[in-house]
Amino acid sequence: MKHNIEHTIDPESLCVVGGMPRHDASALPFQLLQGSHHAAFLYWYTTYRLVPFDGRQHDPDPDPSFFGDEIGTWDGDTFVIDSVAFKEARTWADENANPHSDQLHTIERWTRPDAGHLHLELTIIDPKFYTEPIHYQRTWLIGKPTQIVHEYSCAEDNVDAPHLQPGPGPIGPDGQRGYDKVTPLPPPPDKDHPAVTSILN
Amino acid sequence: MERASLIAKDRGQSTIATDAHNAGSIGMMKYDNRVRKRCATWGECNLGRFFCQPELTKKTNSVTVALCSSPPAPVVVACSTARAVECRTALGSTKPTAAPPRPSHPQLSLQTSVCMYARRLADRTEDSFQRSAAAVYRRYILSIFALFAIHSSSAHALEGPTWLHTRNPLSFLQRAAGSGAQSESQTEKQKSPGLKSDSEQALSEFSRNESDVPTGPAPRIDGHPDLSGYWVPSKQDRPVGNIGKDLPVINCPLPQRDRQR
Repeated sequence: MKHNIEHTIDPESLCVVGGMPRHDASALPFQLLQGSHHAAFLYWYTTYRLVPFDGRQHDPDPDPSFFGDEIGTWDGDTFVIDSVAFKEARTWADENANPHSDQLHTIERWTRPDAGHLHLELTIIDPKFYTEPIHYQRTWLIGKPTQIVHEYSCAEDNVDAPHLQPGPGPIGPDGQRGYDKVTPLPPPPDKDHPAVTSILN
Repeated sequence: MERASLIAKDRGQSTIATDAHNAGSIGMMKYDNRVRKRCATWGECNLGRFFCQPELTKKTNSVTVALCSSPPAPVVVACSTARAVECRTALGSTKPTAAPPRPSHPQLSLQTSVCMYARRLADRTEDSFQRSAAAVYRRYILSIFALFAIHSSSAHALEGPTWLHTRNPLSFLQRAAGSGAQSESQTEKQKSPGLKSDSEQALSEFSRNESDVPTGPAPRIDGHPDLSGYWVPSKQDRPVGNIGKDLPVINCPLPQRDRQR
């Protein structure tokens, strides 16, 4: 935790995939598309994950990844996603910069109790970093039918990357971390320093 | 304490005290380091399994101290980090060593960087400035939505370009979906009843009121509930950004209204 706060830059701000379980702990909406054999989670940041639930088993020798090797199954009306084989470097477990190791194992239990709510019970098992499983739950509300996630080109003109410093920012009064302090903009254009465009006449 | 100090010294640190950043962190980390020490929930030390009661945990602005009720000698537990999370213990004192002066706060440094960056921009030719500014605006195009949202909230009466100071361009979307979404812009509603303001349109992308959510049974597909949809966070789940939020030992720095939930 302290290492992440003081020595690592937020991977997502560098356009590195947030992965799991961070996306489950995100305050951003997401879109879920459920098919016959796969479920697709579409996230802001133009990131996605595909969860197969066609009866397959975990890859016996999976490549480590940010979302892990994910297998979905149905337990009654509960959609269970079991994920293993995560990367350890350049990833945070959540917005709080909590760490996770390559021994991370997540079990998501998704339910839709009614038309308007989606509920997650997440179990995070990481015997390398945590002494016991972490249980986390939350609920989402259905958006409007016309709403979808949109493209966000994170790596395009990421001029801030050289200026970023470690940590997720201080904890605000609402419990969320982040930066919201303000410094003034450069002075606006005036008659002595008019704004010009790059379009040639 | 001497032992811990030596350890800290060996690590190039002047103290074993943790910092305030750990106030909202998970207190059950463990790390098997070279000497095979570890600790768990506020103090499973190699001195014995001493579980500290959460109510005995003291937190200050600079240190996080867990006081064990057993053994009789209090145990000061502190976590430091070299490459990962380590927990060190020391016997004999209820008071930790004084916290070192924090290095320059990342936020201040970030502001300095932003100022320097803005100054360099101003020193460039106007044409160059325009191109750079356009790049910045493209970079933060989504954050502008959240900026509208935050400005619409009386609790976040910010001045100036907040989005310039976030390292994570979407962090303001997260804030907008959470706290920023809590208070609607009443004045804008009064000004243009029936019409949606820019901030309301931005908010609608990232949050929704519980009362607006449709009711009824969940749709089904292939014999299972159809989980498909565009899902926005519930305002009743905060702070969702910490995976330890549901742990009993976590004491997040929440406003009083959230503590009562």
